[in-house]
Amino acid sequence: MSGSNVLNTTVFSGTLGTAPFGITLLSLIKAGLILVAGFVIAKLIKIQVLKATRNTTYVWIINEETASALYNLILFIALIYSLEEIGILSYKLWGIPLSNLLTAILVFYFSYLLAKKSKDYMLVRAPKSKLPETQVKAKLFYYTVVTVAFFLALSIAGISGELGTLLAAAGITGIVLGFSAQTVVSNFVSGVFMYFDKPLQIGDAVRLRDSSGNILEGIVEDMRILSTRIRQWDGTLVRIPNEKLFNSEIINLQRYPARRTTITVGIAYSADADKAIETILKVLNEEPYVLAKPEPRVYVEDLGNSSVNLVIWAWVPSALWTGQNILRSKYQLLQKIKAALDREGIEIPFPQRVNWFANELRVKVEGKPEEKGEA
Amino acid sequence: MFGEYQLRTQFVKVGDTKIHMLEETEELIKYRRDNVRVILKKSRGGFRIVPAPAEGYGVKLLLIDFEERIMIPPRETLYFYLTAPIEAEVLLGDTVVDRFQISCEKYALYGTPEIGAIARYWRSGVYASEPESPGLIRIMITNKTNKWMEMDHVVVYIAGTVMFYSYYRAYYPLVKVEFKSDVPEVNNTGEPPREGLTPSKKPLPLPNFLMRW
Repeated sequence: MSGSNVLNTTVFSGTLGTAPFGITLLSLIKAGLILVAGFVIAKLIKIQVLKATRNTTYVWIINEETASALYNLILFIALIYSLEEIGILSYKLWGIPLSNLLTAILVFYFSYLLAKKSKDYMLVRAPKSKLPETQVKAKLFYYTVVTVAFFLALSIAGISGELGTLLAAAGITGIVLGFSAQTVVSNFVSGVFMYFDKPLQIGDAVRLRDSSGNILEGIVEDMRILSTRIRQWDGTLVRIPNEKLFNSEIINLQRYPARRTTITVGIAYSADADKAIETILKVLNEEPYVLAKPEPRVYVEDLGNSSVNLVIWAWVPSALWTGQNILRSKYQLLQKIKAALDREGIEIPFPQRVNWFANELRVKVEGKPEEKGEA
Repeated sequence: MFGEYQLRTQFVKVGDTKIHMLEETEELIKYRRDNVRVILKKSRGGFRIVPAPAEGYGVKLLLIDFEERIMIPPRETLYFYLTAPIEAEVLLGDTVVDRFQISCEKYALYGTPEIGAIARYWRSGVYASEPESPGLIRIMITNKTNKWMEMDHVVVYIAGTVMFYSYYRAYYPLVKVEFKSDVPEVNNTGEPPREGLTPSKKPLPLPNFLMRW
């Protein structure tokens, strides 16, 4: 008998009883060597990729995440080969060959990685102006690939035959779950409608008013399947379920390049309205962020209880009339109008009321105690 | 005004803006302009003050309204000058240390509120020769149609454009306006409007622009 034959003798018969795996010492050694070789190669590749991350400009692909993914891939492949070597892959788990199950996991995992990397690539390559649109497209692509990979993996694992049954069961379960998960479904459907309706996009400044009249204002940070995230001007992040957003009144503050702002200024009845209009127009013409075209206008809007109300219509760049920019646009403008009116001696009055008394009013003025003494 | 200066204690006036360079120590210089303060380490090279296009808060177009309308006969070409808003850049090598307005800052909506764009706004007379102004733009209008054409404003693509300068004046590149139909096509050529001017940087190709409004 040759040495190899000796080595091929079943060695686990003692410990494993009937030795159902039929593992030989040689196959075990080979499996061990494959694992070690896989580990060494994985480690070397990981180190090389990590080194490359320091110099590359392609950080979207050559990064720590890719290094770890490659490391896992090589280890996983080595594991499959080593399991094959010891003959375990032909065994079945829940009626599915182990080889199919592992291949299915491998296909799904790497499809997922590919989809994720592609999504990142799309976002990195997108020009800034098309970023919001690309973000939505990249997410759609990502979810499509992951879904297809999921069903492909099921097919590889050999449970596609059972898939029909599974889907039918899912249909019934869906109806049952539908009632319990109404909100989730509703949010999802609203998210889909919002995508096609496009009342807002990532990066837009918006003002939302819900059915209770609550107002929320900020920048759209992200639009997900179930919810939308808005960064308010004070820096806090609000997550709004898509259903709620869909039913809200949405005012997009930056959809168009310019918008008209309306400011009301009250002046005293004794003030010269023409002079006040001229003064305000001068300030508007000198203000950089009030557009020269369309021209700003100032009218007497209302003869109020306490003041003559002038209304200012000024067109402004939308981007400069929201959020923090208001500090240097709107508020600065208001301050300049106030200063100009003050300079011209035009009074901005307090609310005042004239009272008439039916009978003549007698007013008794009391002097100070010392004055009384003098008297 | 525009040009290269040594890194030493001095005072430079650019338009109405004053720039102070003050040697703090043997190796440090303080740059001061209005509220801007920068500490520079002395080196062999100097710094440059060059003109920059009037992009303001980040617009791409410059809209100049003419104080008088222009009429161009069929198959004729006309050259003229307009005054134009400009900005100035202070450069150390190719690095921008400071950027500021030299002209009055004003914007306008070019087009309609739905599909227009915000443009830098300026109003200028039409001059046959160079007028007295820190910023100038030379326009060449060619009417290739068979009818008289009228023009009362011009819109030029200026984002990232090269500028040309002499010591006292800044020039936008020569702008060619061509009437092939009723909608003029505007081309920022990137070429100097006349000889003897220094470019602020290497010219880059800029897109032609159809003046629909």
